[in-house]
Amino acid sequence: MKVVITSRENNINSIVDSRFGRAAYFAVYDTDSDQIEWLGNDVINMQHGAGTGAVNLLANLGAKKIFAVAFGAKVKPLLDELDIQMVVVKDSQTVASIIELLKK
Amino acid sequence: MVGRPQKIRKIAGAPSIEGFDPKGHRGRQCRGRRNCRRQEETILLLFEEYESIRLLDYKGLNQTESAQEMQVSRPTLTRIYQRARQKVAKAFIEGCPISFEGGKVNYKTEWYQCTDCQSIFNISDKHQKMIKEVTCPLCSGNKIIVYHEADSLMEEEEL
Repeated sequence: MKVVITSRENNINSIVDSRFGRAAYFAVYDTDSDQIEWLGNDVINMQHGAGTGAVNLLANLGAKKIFAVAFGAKVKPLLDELDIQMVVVKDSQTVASIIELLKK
Repeated sequence: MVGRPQKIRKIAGAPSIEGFDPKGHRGRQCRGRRNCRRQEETILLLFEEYESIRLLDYKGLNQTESAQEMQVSRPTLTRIYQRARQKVAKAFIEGCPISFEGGKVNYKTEWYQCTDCQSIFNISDKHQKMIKEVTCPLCSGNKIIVYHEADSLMEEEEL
């Protein structure tokens, strides 16, 4: 199963990005193969619809869960419709610590 | 004076299909021809109207129960249902296509908080029925409480 974690930098010790649509990077973690793929966010500079753009990107990847610190109001109904679970995590955690918890 | 804003209707999920097309001679002719009068008469059945038919006629709930499911008042539910029936009747009699879309709806989803890792997460109505016990998607812990401020997380949004 693919899960997505928002990230400020494209390395595993980075802190999770506090925004979802305008997160700098997305860490796509495959729980089966234990592989992480880093995705730059191309919608980050959009004036409108960064959240929905990011949802499109991640839904096409087949992500089933998204870990972020906050989700926008437009993103929530969209993710509900796409059947992707939202998980609001505590601020200032690192991507590595989230993956560590997931492996348990 | 401005009327009061509509309450958000909770629905279990979007319909699995986009709509219906009429069958038969008139229906076929309509779809094929451009500038066809009938094509413009596609009836928009709102998601909330679809949901009212699903709850009342398909699941067989009464109106009070259905209103609670959709989190609107009973009279509102009755009005939504009345519109739904009028639209379906019009489509049947006049042979118009039906398209499911729009409406002021939110999908039904329950929010929880894990007391171990403090993360907050949602589980949709659909999944709720399939799982026996709620576990944290992050730490797989089972000390889960219902998160009550979810309404503040879910800001009002028109679809």
